[in-house]
Amino acid sequence: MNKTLDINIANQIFHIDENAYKVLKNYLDAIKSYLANETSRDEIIQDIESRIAELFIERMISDKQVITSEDVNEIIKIMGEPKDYSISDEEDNQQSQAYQKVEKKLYRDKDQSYISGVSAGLGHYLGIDVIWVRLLWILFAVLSFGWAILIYILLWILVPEAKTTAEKLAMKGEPINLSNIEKKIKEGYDNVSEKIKDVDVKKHSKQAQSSISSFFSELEKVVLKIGKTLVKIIGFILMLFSGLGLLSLLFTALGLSGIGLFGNIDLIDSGIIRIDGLIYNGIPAWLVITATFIALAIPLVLIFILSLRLLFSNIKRVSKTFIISIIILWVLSIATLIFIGVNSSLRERVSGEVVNTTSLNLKPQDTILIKMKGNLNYTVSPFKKNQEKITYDENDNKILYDSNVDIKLNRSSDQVAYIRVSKWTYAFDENKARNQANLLTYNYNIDTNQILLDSYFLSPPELSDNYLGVDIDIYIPDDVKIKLNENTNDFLENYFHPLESKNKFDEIYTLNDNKLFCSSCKVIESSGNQNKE
Amino acid sequence: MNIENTKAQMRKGILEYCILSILKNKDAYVAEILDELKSAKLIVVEGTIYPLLTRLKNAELLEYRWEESTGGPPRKYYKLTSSGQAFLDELSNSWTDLQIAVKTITNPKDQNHE
Repeated sequence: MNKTLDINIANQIFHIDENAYKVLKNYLDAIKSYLANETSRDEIIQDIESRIAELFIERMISDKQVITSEDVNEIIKIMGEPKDYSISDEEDNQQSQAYQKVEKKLYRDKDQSYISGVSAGLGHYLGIDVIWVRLLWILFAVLSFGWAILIYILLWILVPEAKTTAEKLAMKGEPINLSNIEKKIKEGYDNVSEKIKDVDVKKHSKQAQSSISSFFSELEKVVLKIGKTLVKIIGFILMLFSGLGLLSLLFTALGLSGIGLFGNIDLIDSGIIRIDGLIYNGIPAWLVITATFIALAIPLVLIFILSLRLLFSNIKRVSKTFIISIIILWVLSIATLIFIGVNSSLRERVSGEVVNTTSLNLKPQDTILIKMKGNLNYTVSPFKKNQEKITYDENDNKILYDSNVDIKLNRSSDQVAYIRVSKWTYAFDENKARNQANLLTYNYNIDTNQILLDSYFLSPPELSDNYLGVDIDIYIPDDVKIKLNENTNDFLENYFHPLESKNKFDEIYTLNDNKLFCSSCKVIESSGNQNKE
Repeated sequence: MNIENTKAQMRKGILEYCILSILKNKDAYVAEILDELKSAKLIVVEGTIYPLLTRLKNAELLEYRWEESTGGPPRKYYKLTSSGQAFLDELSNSWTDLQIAVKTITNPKDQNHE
């Protein structure tokens, strides 16, 4: 009685008994490995299989239902040995035969193993008896103070076990042909019968071998398990980091994308992320942000997927097209970033300004009040904020509000007081920059002993991607006293260090060495009151 | 030097020529080609022919079409292409030359006496 299998050859179904199946499978495998160098091997194998199917059908004419080993052997006789399939030239043939004889492969031989089959495999590979290899290992281990064991373990991990007949033949350097395969299969059967026959003689050694062998195969299992746990831990760490990285990246991008949509974002204003340099170069912010996001996210996504696969082996393999397309996307985003970088460094912008100078009527010992005035239409706070925003004026027109106003107090060398107001922008050429600067609306008012400056300027909303500002230089003769109001120091470039005074705007300042100096603070009692008003 | 090997090489060399010759008169599928080759004792086992046919097809000397068969897998019917035809003519010429050459060398007596 024999078990039968259903097989499909060239889309025909055959019942084949188990032994016959083994022989047929080995035969086809042997042919495959013989035709390994053939370019259209699969097609040839198909042709061979359909011929085998034909031959089987011819043999199935009578009541016969099952293909037996005799049928398969008969067919192999018709089809020929694996070597008959190769049609290489004579030179090639000799070479490949020689090659096949020499080319042994290193496998672990579990059939003759005490521990893992490394020694047996090495014995086959080096063509010496296993016993010498084992003795050498022991000698080597003693001489190297145990380091050889590490090498042994490494070999155990790296060298594959010879499982198939073809591998077992390759291990011993025997050519893969039918007689060898048959021999191997028979050996397999014989081994079993031999074991039964030789119980008495080999009983003890076999037993010793098998118990040691089983101990080490248990050990192998434990090591494998530890290895798997290690892989899981690595997978978990990778997953944690890439996942957190992705999340934070996502939130950053979401936060940043605000500027593209609403023209205003805290992260940038607060100086956490400085990208104005790029944005002000005329490159849209969303492009910079998207490209950066993709460039950073894709490696993280790949690591994340990898970590998932390490953690859960049943996760489906990600399709190649997906991997390829996101790698292309990544390369594109990197290219974009490089382009942006090169572009912004090559196309440097130049500034252009529109200047307005007015003289001030100031005599020595006069006191001048520099006052900053906000506009409640646009903001409740008249302080300096490093931000621009699109808002609406009284006539409901869209305008750009910006408080990038800088005031610098200077000593007037010719003792004439005047104020210089410069509206500036950046553009690719100076004319354009000047034209743009002309579009800025900035108001100030000069009274006797008082300069009233707007704490903001307005411009058309189209300029929102540009770098804009108003610089005010006030030239003050010596001996002119200065008073400020509460928000002025916010805009002052050459502001002083913290003062003891609580009411900064009540104090009197003098300009000394281009630095604002609080002259009343130190002598609060006497001169502070004297000069008030 | 292995005698079997040499014999096999000699046979393989002319195998292509013979396959093309068989297909010269009519299209045929593998079993038919095999029958002819076997009856001429040119081949003993069938295995050799499959890589050879595929190579000839890849070299565009042969082409094939599928035909259904009763109660078996569909068959590849091989046919000589025009370049296959030219190739065959070429081979025929050199075969004739070779035959004469081989005869001259292996039977020098015949020639000397005649």
